[in-house]
Amino acid sequence: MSGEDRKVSEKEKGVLSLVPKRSSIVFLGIGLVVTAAAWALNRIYPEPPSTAEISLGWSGWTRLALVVLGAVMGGVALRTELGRHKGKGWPQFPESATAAVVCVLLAQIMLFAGHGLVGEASTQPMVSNDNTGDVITWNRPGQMQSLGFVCRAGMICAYVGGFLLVIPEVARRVFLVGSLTFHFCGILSAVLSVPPPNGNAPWLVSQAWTHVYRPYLLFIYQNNAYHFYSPEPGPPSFLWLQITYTDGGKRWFRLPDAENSPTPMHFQRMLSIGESASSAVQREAGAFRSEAVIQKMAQLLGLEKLPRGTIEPITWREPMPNAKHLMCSYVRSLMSRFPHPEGNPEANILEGHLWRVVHSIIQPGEIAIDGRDGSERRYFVTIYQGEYNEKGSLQDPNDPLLYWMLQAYDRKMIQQLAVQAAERETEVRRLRDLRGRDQTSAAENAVMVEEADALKRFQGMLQIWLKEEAPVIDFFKLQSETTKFPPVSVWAEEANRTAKLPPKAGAAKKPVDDKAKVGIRGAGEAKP
Amino acid sequence: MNLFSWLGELVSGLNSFFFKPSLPQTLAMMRIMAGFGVFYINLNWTPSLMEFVGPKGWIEHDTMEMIRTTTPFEGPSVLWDGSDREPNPSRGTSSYSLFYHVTNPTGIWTLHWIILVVNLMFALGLFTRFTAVATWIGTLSYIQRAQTSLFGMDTMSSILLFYMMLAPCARVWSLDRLIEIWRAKNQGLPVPMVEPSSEATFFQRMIQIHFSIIYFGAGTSKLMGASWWSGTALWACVANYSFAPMQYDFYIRGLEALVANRWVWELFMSGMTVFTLVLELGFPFAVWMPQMRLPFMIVAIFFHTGIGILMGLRIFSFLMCIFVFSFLTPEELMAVLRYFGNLLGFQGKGPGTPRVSEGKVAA
Repeated sequence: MSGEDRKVSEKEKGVLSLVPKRSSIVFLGIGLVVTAAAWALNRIYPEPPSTAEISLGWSGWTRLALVVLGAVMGGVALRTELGRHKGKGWPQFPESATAAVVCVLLAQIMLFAGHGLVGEASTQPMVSNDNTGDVITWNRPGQMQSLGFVCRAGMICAYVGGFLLVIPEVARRVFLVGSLTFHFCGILSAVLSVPPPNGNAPWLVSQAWTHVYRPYLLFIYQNNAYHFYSPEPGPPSFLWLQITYTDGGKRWFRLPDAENSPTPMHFQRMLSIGESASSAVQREAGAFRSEAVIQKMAQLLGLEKLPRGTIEPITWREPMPNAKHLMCSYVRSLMSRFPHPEGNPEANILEGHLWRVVHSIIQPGEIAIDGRDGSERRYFVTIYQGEYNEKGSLQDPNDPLLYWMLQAYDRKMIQQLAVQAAERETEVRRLRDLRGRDQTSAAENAVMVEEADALKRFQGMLQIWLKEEAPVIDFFKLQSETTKFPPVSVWAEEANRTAKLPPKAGAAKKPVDDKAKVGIRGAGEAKP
Repeated sequence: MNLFSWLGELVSGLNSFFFKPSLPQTLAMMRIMAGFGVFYINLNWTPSLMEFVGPKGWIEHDTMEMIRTTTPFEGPSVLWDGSDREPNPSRGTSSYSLFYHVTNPTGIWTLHWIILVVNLMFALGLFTRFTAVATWIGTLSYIQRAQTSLFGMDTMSSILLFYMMLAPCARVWSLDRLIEIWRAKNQGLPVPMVEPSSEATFFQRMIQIHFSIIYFGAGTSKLMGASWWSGTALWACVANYSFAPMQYDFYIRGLEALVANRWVWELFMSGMTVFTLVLELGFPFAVWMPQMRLPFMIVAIFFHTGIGILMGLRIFSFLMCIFVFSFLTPEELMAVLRYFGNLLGFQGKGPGTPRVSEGKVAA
C-alpha cells in the first residue's frame, strides 16, 4: 500500500505509523531544502544590519522569499497530513503520529528559517547624539533580527502542535485550558501592572509582568492596559515646531494639523504623536531652575526682575528619556522633509524650536457664565521643549525655559495681576513704614524697597499691555517672535493658497471652513 | 454535595463551556468584518506610508533601533532594602516588524501592497490558514514600527487578528469553502458538510473572555479617577476639541444649551458617567447570564456607535462591535441575518437555518 493511497481505516487503528503521506514528505522536503538554502546563503553572503541608508539587499530578499516559501511548504505538509482526518475532529494517537512527525519537521523548518534570516549584530557601538542629557550606546541588531522572534515563535508553536497531537483528548483539553489561563493571566498582568495615581502596582503582578509575560505580550502586541480615558480623561497634547532658515525665513509645523491629515484616521494617529511626548518623569525642578526661569520670563517681558507671586510658571514637566529622543526624531523628520524655505533652495536650516501644547478643556461654568469659547488663547498651555540644531540635536539641555509649563494671561487676568501687584506694593511699603528704619537692618530695608519698586515697575508694564486692543501676555509669542496664535502651519498656508486659486471649470465651489484652517479640529482661529 | 462531585461538576461545566462543539458561522462573520476593517486600516497608511514606516519618518530608523534595543525593563525589588536592584536591567523588546529591516522606498511600498493583497485574501477567506498568519504579521509590522502613532483601534485590530489566526474562521462563508465545494463537485463527490467543532467554541470563548477583560480593565481603571466619581468625566470627552465634533455649529449650540442649566448638565453628565461605568463594570459579569446577555450586547453596540459618532473613532467602534458580536451564537447570528435579509427583500436567498444532520451541518 503506497503512502499516497493510504487511508485511515479501522484496520490501522492502534497501529503506530510514523511515515507521513508521500505528498507531505515532498512538501516538507522542499521546505527543509529551501530554508536550509536560506541558511547557507546567509553564511555565504551575510548582509550588514539595516540603516536608514542600507536596506535589505538581494541576499536578504532572497532569503526572506525562501523562508516564506519554506514555511508555506511546511504548512501545506501539515494541512495535507491533517486532511487525512478531515471530518473526524482532532486526530487521536496513534493515527495522529504522522501529523506530529510533520509538526516536528516543521519546527526544524522554522529553526532553519531563523538561521537563514538573522544576521550578525554590528560590533561597532552606536552613540545617541541627541544631547538630551543621557548618553545611550547600543549595537545595531543583526539584519532581520526581529524576524528571528517570529521564527522562534513558529518553532515553539510547531512543537506544541506536535505535542498536542500525541496526547490523549483529555490531556489535550487540560493543556489548552492551562494555556488559556496562562495567556489571560498575562493579559491581566498588563492591565494590573500600571500603577494607580500616587501609588504602586501590585508587587506580584509587576514581577510576573517583568519576568514572565513581557516578551510574550510585547511580541503579540497585547500589552495594553485598556485604561481608556482613565483615571481621568485628559486634555489633548500637540507638538508645534518652528524651523528657522539661514535666510531668516521661519516655518511652522503643527502635529497634528488637520490640513496635513488626508484622512480622519491620520489625524488620530498624529494626535498620538503629540501624546507620545507627554510622559514625564517624577522630578522636581529644583531652586536653581525655578530661579532661572523667572529671570528668563522677566527678560522676555523687558523687566529687570519679576516680583514674587505675580507671573510664575505653572509647573516643570521633564519628559521621560525616550520621549526626549522621540522629539529629536520628530524634529529631524520634519527637517529632512523641509530642508529649504519656500522659494529659496540656497538657504538651509539654521535651527528649530519645539513646544508641547496642551489644549485644556473648557469648564462648563466658563461657557455658562462668561460665554467663553474653548479655542481662546487662555486654554492653551505651552511647554517649551528646546532649541534644536540643524541635525535635530538639542542645543542646550540647560535652557532656563526648558520643560516649563507656561500659561498666557488675557485682559481679565492682566487686570487681576495689576490689582494684586498694587495691593502687594502698598502692603510692602506700609510694612516698611510701620517697622521703622530702626527696627530693620539696612539689608532688609533694601530688600523691601527693591520689592516695592519691582512691583511698581511691574504694574507699569501691565498698564502698557492693557492699553492694547486685545492684550495677551503670551510667552510663547514673545519667545518665538510670532504674531499669531495658533501659528499658521506650512500645511495651512498651502491649503490657503490652494483655496485662493481660481476654481477649475466645472468644479463645485467648496465653502471654506474657517475652523479647519488652523488645524485644531473644530477649534477655529483662536481669539487674540 | 461533596467536594468530589462539586469538582466533577466544575470540570464538566468547564469542558462544556470551552469544548462543546459549535458551528463556525460567528467566527466567519468576525473574520469578514475584521478582515475588511483591518484592510481599511492598513490602506489608510498609504497616503503617508513613508512618514510612518520610512527610515526618515516620525520615528527615524536609528531612533527606533535604539529604543527597541535599549529600553530597560526592571521589576520591583525582591529585597526590602532594594539592594538586589540590578545595575544593568534587561533591555530590549521582543517586538518585530518587516519595516525595521526594509528601509528603501521601493521595498517598503512593495511590502505594503503585498500586505494589502494578503489582507484582502484573508477577508475573502482565500488560503486562510496562511493569509491569516501573514495578515497578523503584516499588520503588526506597521504597528510595531509606528509605535507612537497608535491608538485603541490598533490594539483591537491586533487582538482580533491574533485570535482569527488561530480560530477556524474560514470553514464557511469563504473562498476556501467555495473551492472545497467546487472540488468535491468536480470529483463527483458529495459536498462536504461543515461540522460543529470544539475548536470553534474554544476560540470564540477566548475572544469573549478577552473582551470581558478589556471592559473590566476599562471600568476598574475609571474608578481610580476623581472625575469619574464626581460624574463629570464625560465632559472632558464631549468638550474636547480634538475628538468632539466642534466644527458643527449645532454641536456647540447643544453644549451651550446643556450648560445653561446646572441641573440639566449634572443629570446628563452623571447619567452618562453612571451608564458608562455600569456597562463597563457590568458587562464582563452580566454577559454570561442568559437573560442579561442580549440586553447588554445591544447597549454595548449603542455605546460604541455613540463613541464612533461623537468622538470620531469610527473604526475603533466598528472593531469593538465585532467583539460584541462574538457573544452571538451561530444560530442567533443566522436568525439576525435572516431577519435583515427579509427586511431587505432577500427572502429565501440569505443563509438559511443550518441543516443539521447527525451533527453535521451544510454550509
